[in-house]
Amino acid sequence: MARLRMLEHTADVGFEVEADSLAGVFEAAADALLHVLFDVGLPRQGRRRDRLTLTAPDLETLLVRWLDELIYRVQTRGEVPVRTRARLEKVPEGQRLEAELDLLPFEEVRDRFAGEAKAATYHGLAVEEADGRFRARVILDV
Amino acid sequence: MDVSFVQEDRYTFRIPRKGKMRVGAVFFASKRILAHLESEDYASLVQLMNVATLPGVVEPALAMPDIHWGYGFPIGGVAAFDPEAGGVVSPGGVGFDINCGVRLLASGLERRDLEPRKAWLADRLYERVPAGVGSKRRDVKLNRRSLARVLEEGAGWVVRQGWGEPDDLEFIESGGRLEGADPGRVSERAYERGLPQLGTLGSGNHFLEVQYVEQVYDPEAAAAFGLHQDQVTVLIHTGSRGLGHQVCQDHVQKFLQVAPKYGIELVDRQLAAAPIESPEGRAYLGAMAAAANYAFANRQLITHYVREAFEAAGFAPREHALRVVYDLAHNNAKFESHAGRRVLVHRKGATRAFGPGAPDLPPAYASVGQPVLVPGDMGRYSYVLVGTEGAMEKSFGSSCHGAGRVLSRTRSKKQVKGRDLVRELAAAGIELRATSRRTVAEEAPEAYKDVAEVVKVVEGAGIGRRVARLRPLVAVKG
Repeated sequence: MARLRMLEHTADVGFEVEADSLAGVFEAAADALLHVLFDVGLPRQGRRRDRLTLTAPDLETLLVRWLDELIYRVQTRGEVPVRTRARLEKVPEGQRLEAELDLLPFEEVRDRFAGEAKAATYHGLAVEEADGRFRARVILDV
Repeated sequence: MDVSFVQEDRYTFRIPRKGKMRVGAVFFASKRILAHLESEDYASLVQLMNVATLPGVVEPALAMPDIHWGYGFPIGGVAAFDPEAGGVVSPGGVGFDINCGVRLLASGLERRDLEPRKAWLADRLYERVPAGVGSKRRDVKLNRRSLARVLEEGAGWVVRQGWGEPDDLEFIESGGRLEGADPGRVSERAYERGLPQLGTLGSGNHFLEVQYVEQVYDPEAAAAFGLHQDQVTVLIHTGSRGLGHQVCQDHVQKFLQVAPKYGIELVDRQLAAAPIESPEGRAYLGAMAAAANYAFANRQLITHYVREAFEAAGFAPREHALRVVYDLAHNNAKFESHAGRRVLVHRKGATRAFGPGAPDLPPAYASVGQPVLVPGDMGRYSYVLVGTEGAMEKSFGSSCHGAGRVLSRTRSKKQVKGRDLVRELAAAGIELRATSRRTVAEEAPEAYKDVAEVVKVVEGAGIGRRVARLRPLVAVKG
């Protein structure tokens, strides 16, 4: 079970997510991003499915790349990743994420769009494990 | 972190050098602004102290009175770096929205000319100026080759397509084109993000306002800027859109990898930096200038749409006579000379505020100084200031860029829950058009400091002087 908490930040938007696996944290972070970009709960069923692979030297950078990729999908490709399934593994170059995205055309949810996010920042960024739970903390520039 | 500071004069405070700080820091504030800083646990002052730890930083690291908690640099942060002393460039000191800025247009219309057609004009502006995602103009088609020219030529490229007046360029900071732009340093992803977005406003705090000159404080400077009481003006706030965001992120990640190679210790990873005189530093500066040119071009194209909207609202071109007063960036890094040194001045949520006789001013403004545009919030007012010699001496020729948020977006939404802001603003004579209700709630006037307080500190500290106050009549939010 994943948990999401929005953080107070004067200029931008932050969130903290918690899940029982690293993959769960990445999936919850994707949901948190949608919570920032859209007003109310979106359908969880996509019209199209896509896969992507990202690698990064560390987990924090992988999380930044993941969120930036999803921002790009919404804002440039006009596809909203309403549901994601993530798988993480350590690789020689650092960390790799393989994800499956359920995508909905932006036009179908345009009326719920609340505004853009520019990028995920490294300020206060953390991905950590404590007591068998995994947490991430992100501030987005909006 | 322990934050201690000493008051140097009424509005100037100094944080003495301590710990890893290489220089001291200075910020400008009033009692009320100090209370705001305390309410966010001095997070923005900690960020200012972090900036002072970067290599080659020139005394002092600065924050303008609209300082608030950002990421990496505080918003309102100004820092100069000496390339000859190992100075660095930090994409986090420029921000994701490279060369985001504000453009002021002055019209030939008086407030009384506009009032009867105000709502009609609001609708035309909302129709013709695209906000961003999913809203595209069919008349402006770019391909990768023409986008590369935008990145090199900035606002001039837009004017040469017929979307602007040649005179527009004279009144843009740096003529609407930063030198040294290198489109080859911009990633393919950034090109892809930039292609559909030229001429779009964006969301969040970006806006378009039609206003009138409510008060003139400095008749001489107002006359030089061509501003007078009751005149209708337009203020455009936007930046380099997804292209700039991508350029920033690409280089933050690159710099994180190379910082250890250059022995740069980062107290905040968003401050990722590389020496100005390094291959990575030069690559970022080339890409940053290209993104800056995109931002200048974006505001130029939106100016064209604004002129079209006035015409669609029944004001002929010679009647609206919209001309650029000034276009001023508040997120960039520029080489400038200060106290005889060539330094790279980072301004993150801060503007250039050059005084009389400074370089790079339009001839018409050379004797008074450059206009400094300070947007407030959509319910109150914005200011036009003029740069001063004081700014040249105290703040690397810099001043504030706006009011600065005082409420987080979450708190702002809670505070206005149940209220109809659109109706409230209409009752105050302001026609609001917005894509998203949530943006309206997040951008409520009370989410911002009273910009008059910020401007009072700027004037009191001698880093800018009031010229005119502008009151909104129409606000368009993405």
